[in-house]
Order: sequence, then C-alpha cells, then structure tokens
Amino acid sequence: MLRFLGVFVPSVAAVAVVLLSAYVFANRLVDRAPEPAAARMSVPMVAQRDVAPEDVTKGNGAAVVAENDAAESSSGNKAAESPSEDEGAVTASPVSELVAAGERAFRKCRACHQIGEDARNRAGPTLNGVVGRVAASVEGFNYSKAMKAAGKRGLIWDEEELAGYLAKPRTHLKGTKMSFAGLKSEDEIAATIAYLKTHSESPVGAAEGDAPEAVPEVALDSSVLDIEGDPEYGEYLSSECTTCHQEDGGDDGIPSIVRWGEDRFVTVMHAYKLGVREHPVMNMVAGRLGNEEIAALAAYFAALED
Amino acid sequence: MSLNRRSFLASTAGVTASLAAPAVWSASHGRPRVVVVGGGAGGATAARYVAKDSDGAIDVTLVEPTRTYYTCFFSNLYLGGFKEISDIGHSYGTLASAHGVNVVHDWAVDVDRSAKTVTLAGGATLDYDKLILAPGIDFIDGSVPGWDISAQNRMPHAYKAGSQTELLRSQLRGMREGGLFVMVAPPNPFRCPPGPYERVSMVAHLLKNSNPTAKILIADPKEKFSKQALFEEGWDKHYGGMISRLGPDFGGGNVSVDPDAMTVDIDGQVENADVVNVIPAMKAGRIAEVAGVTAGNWAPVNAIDMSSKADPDVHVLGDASQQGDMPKSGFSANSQAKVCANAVRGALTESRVFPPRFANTCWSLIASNDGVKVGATYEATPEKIARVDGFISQTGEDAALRKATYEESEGWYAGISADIFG
Repeated sequence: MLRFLGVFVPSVAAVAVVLLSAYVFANRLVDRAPEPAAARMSVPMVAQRDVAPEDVTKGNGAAVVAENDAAESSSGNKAAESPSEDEGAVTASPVSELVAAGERAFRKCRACHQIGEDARNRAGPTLNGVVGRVAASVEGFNYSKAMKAAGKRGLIWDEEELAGYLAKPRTHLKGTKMSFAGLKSEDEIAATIAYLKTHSESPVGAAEGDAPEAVPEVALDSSVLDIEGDPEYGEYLSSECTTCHQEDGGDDGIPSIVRWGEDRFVTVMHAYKLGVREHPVMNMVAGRLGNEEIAALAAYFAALED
Repeated sequence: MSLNRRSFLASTAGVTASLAAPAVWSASHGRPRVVVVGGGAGGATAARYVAKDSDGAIDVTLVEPTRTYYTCFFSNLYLGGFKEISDIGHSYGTLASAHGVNVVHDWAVDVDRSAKTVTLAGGATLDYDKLILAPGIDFIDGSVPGWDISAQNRMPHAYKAGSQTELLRSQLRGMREGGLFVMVAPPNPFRCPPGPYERVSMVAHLLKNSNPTAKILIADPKEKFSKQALFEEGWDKHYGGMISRLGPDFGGGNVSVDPDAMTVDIDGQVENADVVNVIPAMKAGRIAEVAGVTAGNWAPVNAIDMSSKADPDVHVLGDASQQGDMPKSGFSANSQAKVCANAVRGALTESRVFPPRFANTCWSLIASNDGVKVGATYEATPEKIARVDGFISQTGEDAALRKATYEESEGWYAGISADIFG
C-alpha cells in the first residue's frame, strides 16, 4: 500500500548564501576591510541526477510503505501486535500470549544465543536489542564474512528480515555460520520475533512510547538515493549530529549512527523528515535537511567506515 | 609560562626576541592564530573544531583557568544524588594531546583589540588573528540586596558548577529535620532557563528521602518559567506539598537576604532559612566587557558567524552573547561554536564555509526516570538567530516515555562531552 506524503521544500542553499552574504555586508559597518566569511561561503556541491522538476513537486519520489499492512496480509498473527495510530486499540493479552509462545520457541535458540540482563556472546551473539539493529553489530562477536558484509551494506534486523532469516537462515543469508535449520511455522516465527522485541528497544519507537513495532520506512525514488553527497559538507553537517550521537559509536540512551550503509542512512533520515518515524528531536533536525544535505551526511558517515 | 609553545617553535625568532616583542611575530609570521577565552561548552568546542578541522594549519590557544571543568549541565543531577561530582568533571588533556590545542590555565584579564592581543593574569600576552570569547556568565553586583561574592559560602549560587555545587549539596544533606530551603531565582535572561526548576526538583528528590518534612520555597521575579507546566505537574506528583513558589505577584521579585542571620526578606516577609541558594541576575563574563564588545549586559553578535557587532575579528559564543532567540545553554553554545569555528577557519585558511545551522535541546530531570525535554532549531537572519520550529514534552506522558527521555539525556551527556572535550 502506497501513500504519497508531503512535499519537500526544495533546498535553497544557493539563495540563502546570496542573502546571507548580502546582509553581512549590510550589517557589518566595520572600520577596516575584513573578508566576511560569507563572501566565500561555498555552495555545497550537489550532483543530483535525473530529478525532473515534476518529481520534486511529487515529494521527491518518497513514498511511505506501511510495512505493517503488508505483514498483516501475509500473516494473520501480526494483527494482534500491529501498531495502530490509536494506541488504545492494542490490547495487552494477545501480545503477552504471543510473547509467551515466543519465549517457549526461543528455547531452540538458547543453545547458542543468550538474551536478557547478563547475556554474553556464546556460539552466537547476544540478542538483546537485535530487532532493529544493524547486522553484525554486536561488539566482540566474530561474525562470518557474509554477515559482516550484510552489516556493511546496511542490513537491519527488522521484522521482515528476521522472519526470512529465522525461516531458513542459510538460504536467506548465504555464508552465515548459524547452523540452524530454521523455524518451521510462521506462527512460531512471529512469536519468536515478538519475544525478541521484548528485549529490544526500538531506538525511536520505544522512546516515543509507540508499540515497539517493525520500523515503518519510506521507499525513496532512486533519484533521491542516487544523489552523490558532498562528504566535506557532510562533515560540517555531522557536527550537528555529534552533539548527541557519539562519533565512536557509543549508544547509551541515544542510538549509534556510525557504520550504517548509505542507502539505509538516507532512508531513515527521510523517514524522520516525513514524520514516518517519530522522534521530536530527529523530526526537527531532519525536517530542516534537504535531499542533498542528507546525501552529504550519508556520504560522510559512510566514509567514516573506511 | 604561558607562551604559545607551538607558535614559538614555528617561529624563527629566538627566545629573547620573542619574549621581548611578542607582537612582532604575529599575523604575518607562521600560522594564523586563534585565541579562545573560556573552556566551557562554547569555547572548548570552538577550540577543538578549529584545531581538528584545520589539521594543524591554525594555531589554537585555549585560555581557561580551571584544570578540571565541571559542567553546569547535569550538576543538578549531582545535587539530586544521581551523579557523582567526578561524573561531571572534564580535563583538557585530549584537546591538547589529540588536537594540538595549546591549553593555557590562566585568566584573561585584558584584550587590546587594536593590537590584537590578550593579556593574561600571569603577565603573558597572546597575539591573535581571530579571538573567540566564551566567558560564560558573571553575576550583576547588587541584584540581590545583601548578597555578594563574599557571602557565597553561606548562601551559595552553585550556578558555576564545581566547589559551589558541592557546597550546596553538603548544606542540603546537613539541613536540620523539617528545615527550609529557599531559592532566590534569577530574572531573565539567564543561563539555563529550566536550570533553577530542575534544581528544585533535584533538591526535593534528595530531601524527600533524607528529610521528608523539609520545605522548599522559591522566590521568583518571573511570571513564567521554562517547562513550567511540566515541572508543576511533576512537583505535584512526586513532591506534593513540599514546594511553594512566590512569583512577582506575591513579592517574589522584591527579595533581599541577610547571609549572617540566614534570613530572606520576600516583600517584607522575613523567612528564617536553613539553606539558601541565591542565583543572582547575570551578565556576560567580565572579559567581554573588558574587551569592549558588550552593549548593556551582553555582547551583541552577528547571527551568521557569531562575530561581535563591535569587531569582526572577535567572536562571542554561548551565554555571554546576545544572539537572538537561542536560550543560554551548553547545547546552544556548542551549536554556535561549530558555526563560528567553520567561519573562523574559512577566514584564516580559505577552507570552505557552509551555511550556519543552529539547534538546541534541553533535557530536565524532575524525579527518578521522569525526564522531560524542550528543543528548537534556529536560523541566521540579518537581525538575529531566529527560532524556526521546536517541540516540548507534554504533560501526562506515560512513565515509559519519561524514562526513555531521561535515558536519552544520559546519551546526550556522553555525546556532547565527547564533542566538547574530545
């Protein structure tokens, strides 16, 4: 199901530069000839391919995909835990039943995976926080090459990915060293994910008191994803991020934003910009970033990985 | 010895010549120089970003008297028992070792803007091409009759974190059973708008456990205050009956104190207090006035790069600046510092200068796991830094959200500390 949301205000960096320069000259009645910083303020380099003006007016090709709707249609079990705009519609008991079933199902995983307060890496990594995190991101665990590569390209363990992986691990992610045949029934998979979620805080949803559900995302037109970000501009912009997000990847209370794939980064920022993801600070910050600025940030943070 | 070591080494001049005529080997010799006065959220961030991003092309000296900087943000959490004093202390070692900032522990006592020099209390003189002043706040003499700096041990302000904060906590812990804590709140504008009210929350939290019959009285010259509905809801919920506030309608703006008698006179009504926290009216840190860049109590700046309206080679950051709509907060100072650093670097090394961006978020803790926040983004206009949009926590939010907000503030503290001090 697709919905078109909102229209981006096109970035007007160049116009802003001109205006800012003008007012600096107008305001600085100085007794010597300084070189106003704004006079050399450079316009961020943007290579925006294949974006016709009509695309821009359509919202830059961004469309919201209500993943949960898709999930509902594929599995009746999801109904009980589907997020609702009306929080009151989510009743407690079906969810807790599902979680209890998931806890039972999780016994199959316990041989290799620990979860909970004192969980440690064993044959498999700890699974605290697994729902919504980047693949291969548990510190100190020696992942397979395939899993590391998946993390590098930005694979996120959202519900859909987990469902696919739990059904047939070695088919879903070729090269994984998880030697588990897979969970047979969709019910069991849904229950297991529901249980895993009780040990996962969605970095956004949980903070806002939403049901900790599959992260709704935006489907971006390739013209948006293909913008070549200017890493130097991204570095400047990133200083706004590092007031809260730690550059070294620390994630106490505020999620880490390093080691994301570029597409993933761009998609998530647009999700905040469009309000599909809800968090007041992020909605505010992302709301003021243009497409090329988001691309610049993604390019900068991607370069940090190397 | 407070000479600028790195410039000194870069200079071809001999020791004697340098000492005798430091101004001679200034701008035209060696690397351009930035002197930053004040090592808080504004100054240390600016020093770090100029040094880090210029990668040695700019000589950066940071003048800050204290060896360990205690952040005002989170100092209330120390009062409430949620933090140790060491949790909010930061050294300048990383700025020096990782970024090459020349950290000088001294007071700047004079600025000569025509010679472009800063004089230190120790007697040394620093040359600059660009000067960044981030001196924070000082108190306005006489703003609370009866109180002056000699009384700050009996009636601490605890509004510059460190020994004053430790003193206030020790007084609160030693308060007699059923005693009275009085806060004399400051008039606008002042550092950290929610600060006094978060402090009251944290004092109430401390007393609720150790001294539950104690009372808290706020004498406040302001009609309204930041996050008022959120604080009042929280006070009612967590500390019912413990906290009273006298606004200006009830004489809260007509206060004098007698530190010897430990009394507070609120519009003619004399209260015998056990612990008194006087937060006087504020102005820009004194060095801004000495430098001649203030107009009234604060230093007006251009929004685009935080340069002083009095001198394009002097920038003023954070609490000391008069910039427009941003609150005086560590977050704001940090945000302004990055814009300033980008502009200063561009002016001195031809590096690219990008459009200014400003943001602020202030988290406050009302009780255990009951965090709230307010934030906004801002833009540079010809007149000022102007608010674009923002948000605020809502009354009646559920406990899980409030807990998440508190945890978020912990993450923010870790993030901004690393962003400021490296």
